[in-house]
Formats: sequence, structure tokens, C-alpha cells
Amino acid sequence: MNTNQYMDIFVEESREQLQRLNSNLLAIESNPQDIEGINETFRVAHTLKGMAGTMGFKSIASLTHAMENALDLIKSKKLQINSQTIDLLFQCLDSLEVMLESTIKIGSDKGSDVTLLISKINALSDSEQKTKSESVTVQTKSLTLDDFQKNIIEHGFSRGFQPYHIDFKLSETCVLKSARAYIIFKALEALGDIIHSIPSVQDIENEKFDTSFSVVLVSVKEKEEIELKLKNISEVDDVVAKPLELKSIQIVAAEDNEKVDGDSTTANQQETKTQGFASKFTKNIRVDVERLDLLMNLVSELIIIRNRLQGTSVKSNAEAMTESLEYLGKITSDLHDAVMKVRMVAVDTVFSRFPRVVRDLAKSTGKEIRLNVLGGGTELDRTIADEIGDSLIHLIRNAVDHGIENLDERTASGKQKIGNIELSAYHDGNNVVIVVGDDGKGIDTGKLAKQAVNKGLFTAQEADNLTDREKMNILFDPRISTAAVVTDISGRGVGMDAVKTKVESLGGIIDIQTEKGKGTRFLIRLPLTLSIIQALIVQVEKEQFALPLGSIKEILNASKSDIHKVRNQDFVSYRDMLLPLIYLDARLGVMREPLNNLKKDSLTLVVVRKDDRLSAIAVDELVGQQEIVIKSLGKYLSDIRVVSGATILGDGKVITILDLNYLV
Amino acid sequence: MIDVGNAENSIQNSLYVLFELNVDVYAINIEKSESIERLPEITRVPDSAEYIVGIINLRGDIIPVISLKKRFGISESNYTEDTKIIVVSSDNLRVGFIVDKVIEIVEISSDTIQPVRNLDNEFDNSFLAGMYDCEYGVVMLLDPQSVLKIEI
Repeated sequence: MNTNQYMDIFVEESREQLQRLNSNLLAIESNPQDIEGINETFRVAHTLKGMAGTMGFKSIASLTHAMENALDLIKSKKLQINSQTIDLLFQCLDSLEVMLESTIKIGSDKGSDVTLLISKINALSDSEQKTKSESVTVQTKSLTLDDFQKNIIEHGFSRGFQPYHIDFKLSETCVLKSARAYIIFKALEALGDIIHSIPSVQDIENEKFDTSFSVVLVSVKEKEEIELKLKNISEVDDVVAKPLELKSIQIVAAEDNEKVDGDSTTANQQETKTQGFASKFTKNIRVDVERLDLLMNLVSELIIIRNRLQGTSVKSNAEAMTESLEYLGKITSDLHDAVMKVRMVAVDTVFSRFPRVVRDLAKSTGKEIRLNVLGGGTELDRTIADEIGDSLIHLIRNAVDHGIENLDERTASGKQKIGNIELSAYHDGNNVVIVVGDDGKGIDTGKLAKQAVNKGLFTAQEADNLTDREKMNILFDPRISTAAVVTDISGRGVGMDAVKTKVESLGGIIDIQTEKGKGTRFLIRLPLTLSIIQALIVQVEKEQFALPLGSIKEILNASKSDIHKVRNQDFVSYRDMLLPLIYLDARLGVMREPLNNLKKDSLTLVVVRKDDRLSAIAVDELVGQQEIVIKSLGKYLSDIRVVSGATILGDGKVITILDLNYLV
Repeated sequence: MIDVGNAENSIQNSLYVLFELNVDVYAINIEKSESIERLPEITRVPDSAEYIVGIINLRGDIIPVISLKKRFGISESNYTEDTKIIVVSSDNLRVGFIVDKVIEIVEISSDTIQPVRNLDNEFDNSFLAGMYDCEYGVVMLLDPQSVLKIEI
């Protein structure tokens, strides 16, 4: 069957299923009694298996098959849910994600080695059953050997070497477990050849084991002799050696595990799908984003022509005309809102991968962390949702790594042992606000300032005069946020400056609130949509420019006497402050008619906000406020930063939209 | 053409737009040119390279227009009724070229295209794909891709 045409659907659906698998596993981890969660996870694994089977992706199918088996055992209470099982299932999930990406890139999941994971799952299921049925004192794990090891055993057997499976239990009081294990391994090597160990030798060396481990040894010695020799080693509580029979050894053979009954699974899959999920999900249609973009473009055109009609009706002044135009205007706005909503996705699509990130980070840092997600249903434009994820991960990583203190510090400062990370989203006017917060130690602004002085950003004296907020902004300085403060504030490669740049490129702003000892909150304020904004249109000489209304604080008129020159830079007094003054004509190279060079007595100023700083931009005239459709300048002009795009006005005229973040 | 072993297959006839820049005649393969437009109002883009005249509204799309003369380092003259924009698309880029006058569209056979030879030192030969002799004199065939290459 030619499955190429289904590839897109497969990828899209698999991603969804993996996402669901991820959240289900997290749910099971936090609540192992959640039978419905387990069932759901099982169904997802089953669906994935079916889809992969149909598409001919054998590795994915066989791995999901193994997962399904394990989940089935969990369902029937034959396998316990503990951190080991959950970790393994997460590993499978990661592996599935990698394989899915490789199917996208190379159109096949070949080359992905799933045998190890599958054998681990099988080992887990087997060991669980064994411990139940045999109730041996030392926990045994089933043996999974590869062909090479099997050959050694077979070869040795024919020459009188007996394979033994030996379980060790070290004394609970043993301090240097890996050193003790080393002595045991030395003793074993004197007795014969070690061909396998559980866990691996490396893990044992790194003390990644509890108090027991097991090895497979081939030796000419008798069982009793071996046990005696080994029991003589101090701090060894128990040694059980069992002669192995060849047929009891389970050989991991990739082919056996990879057989998947494609036809029957797809049939089943259909069933489970309709039974299991139908009730849970609202009706969806999958639509190509390009088609939505097209629809959006058409609506944009409609808005342009509406603006144009409204412009002409002012001149013609026929009442009926004006009335219908107002109606047309309302419908157009509604239509625009509706189309915009189609493009919106719940912020959950971004948030849903973070519980896992936090979980893994918490595990690796040894901290206990609770992630509180709020407002996952808040919607924002798909493009923004796609773009903002990495920045959020960076902030979350920072919060875990550097925000939340370790357990000792938390207890010392009288905090709850569990650290909290807040991830929330809410609508605020025409913006979406995303908050990443923690209840950790907060950011030490003094320390930051010191770093900046060390780096030569400021002199010590200048640093003393900085406000707290200014000190905080050091965090976003590319010279600071990369290597210098890795241990204290920032993460690794991607610095805070990258986060800030990304947020700003999406037309948003980022703000920090921090209190020493109480925690830190990063507030990211993003526009609801990227394509249509409210703008102020200004004129300089004969040229018009659009300024996004979001950054504009106020319009004012200043007389010449309000302007002060300090070191070649003009400032204007505004309330109690002096704002740097930017002359738009000079800044943008607008050609002046010679006569107009004579400066007027009063200036029209647009006060804009960037971060917490205000600046004033001098323009000739205000044309008006208008909803504009942002159009990209295209690849050819992409390096021009002062202009973020262009828009077509009602009369067909093109004007550029200025990037105020860059301008001021 | 040096190799004539398989002449019938290798000779292709293509249509070219002939146009004027000052007194010289240039040509662009019609496959690379999308349309010829009358000069609309051009909006200047601040901070852009000198040869980028600005952006225009082409039936709802915004496209940049460049002055070929400035790009080639020839002196610019005033726009007239004959001044046109040739919209070129290449490598997913759509850009308008301002030309003094569009002469006509001609069919040029690939075996009559000659390699680029040095005419004078003023002109950057890397923009050319070849040359062609006809009633208008020596026609220079433009390679839009190298014209659009962003350097600076």
C-alpha cells in the first residue's frame, strides 16, 4: 500500500497521541490509582501501534506493542507502578518522539534501535511476575542476553564452563557500595568470566544500584565453592548462585519483537477510537494553516477596502451610504474576529510539554517541585504559540535550576520543602499575558550589578546609582546572560537576551518581578494576533509612518523652551522627567523641503515606552488612529530592522510600520 | 556554442523582454519576469540600501522595487511616461526592477547567445548571463538571481 499520502495525517495524529501519552503518564505518576488514566494510556499506545503498523513503521509499532503489554500488566495489577516503570515508559515515549521525527525527515523509522527498550520492558514485566510467584529473598531480574553473550555461554558450556546467575545483596550499612562491588567483581574474575551484570557495570561503578545486583558468571567451579568464596567478602549479606540452563535464557532478537499484526490492530484501533475518545473531544476539522492564512488575507483585504469606502463616504456625505457603510464595517470586524479565532489555539498546546520538563529537571536536580498550571485554555494566535515555547522552557529551566533552592536551603529559610513553579496565562485587553513564576530565592540585584561591573558594563560608581529595575535589566544584556552568571542566575547556551529578543520580535514585552527570598515572576505580554493591530499614523514632511499603538503612552505638544540639549542629545521635560528626544525626520532620513527647515515653535511629540523607559518622538503631524493589516516586507528587505512591516491604507497607498523597540 | 554534436536538442528558443537603461539595451528571460507594470507611487523604506527605491502595492501584495541603474552604478535620470517596473520572481523573491523603457519581447535562440565580454570597466559583468547582437546593438542578458543577491 502506498502510504505517502497519509504521512501528514500520521505525523499530525501521532504528535497528538504522544502529547496525550505524555500527560497521561504524568497523571499516572502523580496518582497511580487512576485506573481510567491507565486505561486511557493503554488506548493511546494501542492507537499509536495501529497507526504505525498501517504505515509500516515497524520499530514504532513494536515499541508501542511492548508498552501496551506493560500497561496491560499494570491494568491487571500484575505490574506495580513505581518510579522505575514510569521512568521506563517515559524513555519509551522519548524514543517514540525521536522515531517520529526521523519518519518525518527520512520517511522511515529504520535505524532506530528499540530492542533495548523492549527488552527492558519485558524484563520489568517478567521480574515483577517472578518476584510474585517465586518470592525469593533477593530480587531477581530476568536475563536478557544478546547473541554474543549467548554464544559465549554456549561455547563455554561445551568446554565444561557452567553459567551461573548470581544475586548479591550488600549489607544495608555498606557505605562505599561501588568499592565493595569492585572487590566482589575482582573475586568473581578469579573464579571465572563475568559476561553480564544487572545493572550494567557502569551503573554499578557509579553506585546506581540499591543494595542488590546480579551477574552472570561462567566458571568451572562448583556452585558451593563460588558461594562460599563470595560470602567471605565482608559487607555481603547474601549470595545466591543458580546454575543456568541454556533454554531458560531469553535472547533478545529484534525480529521476534517486531512482528505486529497490522490488520487486526487497525480494526481494533478504529473501535477504541470511536468508543474511547468520541465522548471526550469536540468536533474538529483538520485544516491546512495555509488555507487559514489565505482566509485571513482575504479578510485583511476586506478591511482595507472598508477603510477606503469609509474614507470616500466622508466626502460624499450621503446618509444612507454612511449607514450601510457602518454596517459593513461592523460585519467586517466580526468576520475578522471570527477568522482570527480560527487561527487561535489554546495555550495548553504549548504548556502541555512543560510538566514533563519540570519533572525531568526536578529529578536531575534532586529538588521537589510542583508545577501549577493555570489558564491553559487561554487562546492565542497559532504563530505566537509556536514561537514562544522555547523561551518559556528557558524561563522554566531557570526557575528550577536557579530560582528554587535545594531542599536544605528551603528548610533553613522556613519554606515548604516542595518548590512551586507557576505557569499561567490570561487575557488582558488585546494582549495575552503568560507568567512564569517561582517561590525560590529571587534575583539578587546587587550580585547582578557586581557581575556587570566585573564585566566592565558599568563602573562601580555607576552601578551604585542604578535603580533596582535598571539592575534587573542587566539580566537581559547579552554580555551578561551567557557564560558569566551560569551558576547564579542564567542557564546555559540560550541567554535571557534571546528570550527577550524573541518576545520582542513577536511584538511583546517581558517584565520581571522579584523579591529576595520570596521568588521571581516573569511576565510576558504578547499581542493576541500578529496580523492586525491598532496603529497611530503620523506624518513627517510628505511621508507617513504607522506606529503600533501598544507602545504609545501619550501624545503631547512641547514648546521650544521645553527642550534641553545635553551633550548633543536633545531632551524634553515631561512631568518630572527628561525624555530623550528623537527627531523622526533625521532618524529616518526624510528629505525636507528647504523652506520647512525652519523649526516650528511647538513640536508634536509621541511618547513611547520601551521596557520602563520613555522616549519622545518628534513628528510633523498626527494623521489618525486606525486598524491596520501588517504585511511583511519580504525576504529581500528582511535585514531592515527599523521597519517591522508595511500596510496598505484605504486609498491603496503603502506606508511602513516602524519598530519602536528598535527605534528608541 | 562550441559543442554542436547534439545541436537539435541543445538549442532552445526563449522569449526575452528587451528594455532600456539610458542608451543601453538589456534583456530578461520572460520566465523570470512576472509582469510589466506602470510606475505606481513608491514608498521609501528607511535604512535600506541606496538602490532600493522603496515598496509598492502590487494588487494587494507589497513588493520591493529597485533601481537597476543605481544597482549597476549608472547615473539615475528622472522618471518619464515610459518608465516601467518589470516584476521579477526568482528564488521565492518578488522584486520590481525600474527600467527606462520596455522595447519589445523577442525570441532568442540559445545558440545565438554569446559569452559575456568586457565592454567597459564601469559595469559589473557578474550581473550578466550572456550577450546577444541584434538590430538594437549589443543586448545584455541579465541574470536576475545575481542582481538580487544581497551583498553590502
